[in-house]
Amino acid sequence: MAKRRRKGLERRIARERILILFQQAEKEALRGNLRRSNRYIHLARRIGMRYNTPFPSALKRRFCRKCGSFLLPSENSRVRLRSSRITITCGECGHVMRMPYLREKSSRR
Amino acid sequence: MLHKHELIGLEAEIISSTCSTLVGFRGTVVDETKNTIVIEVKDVEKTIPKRGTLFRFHIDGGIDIDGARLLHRPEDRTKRAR
Repeated sequence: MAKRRRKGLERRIARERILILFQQAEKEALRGNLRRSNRYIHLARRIGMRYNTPFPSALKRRFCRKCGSFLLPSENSRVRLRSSRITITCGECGHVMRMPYLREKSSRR
Repeated sequence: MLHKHELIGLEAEIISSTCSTLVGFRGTVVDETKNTIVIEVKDVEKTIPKRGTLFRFHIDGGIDIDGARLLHRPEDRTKRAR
């Protein structure tokens, strides 16, 4: 009989691997080695897809959805608050990601 | 368990290899493909075949892994490696 896959364990490892890759990507980006950071993001996204593991929401903003570059605010991306949305512009390809912050807004009132 | 986990960022050393010139290299793992591991030794990237190489990863006091067990794409290793 084939060995049973342990998907829970696989997902846990996948999550840890994604976190490690983002840490390494940030480290390399701060050393000015963006090519390597982009490679790590590429690997992390593939791991996420393979094991059906979503990225932690904090990390979803750290790379460009379109071209896959690691985004380092002020270095190769622009983060602005515009009409109830956060807009993140990728400095590599110009793609704009928008995410609402309605919850934060309504809780202030 | 390490053979299923992320190798990038770890400190690795080559214990033995079918290519004798590679033995003794020690540095940080910076990339990985299906058949190779890239190690940065003194700012030079060394591409090392997994097949026929015994690696020691310096984590938790050092773990030795035969490269033949790592012969998968990095994203497949978690589910494929035995």
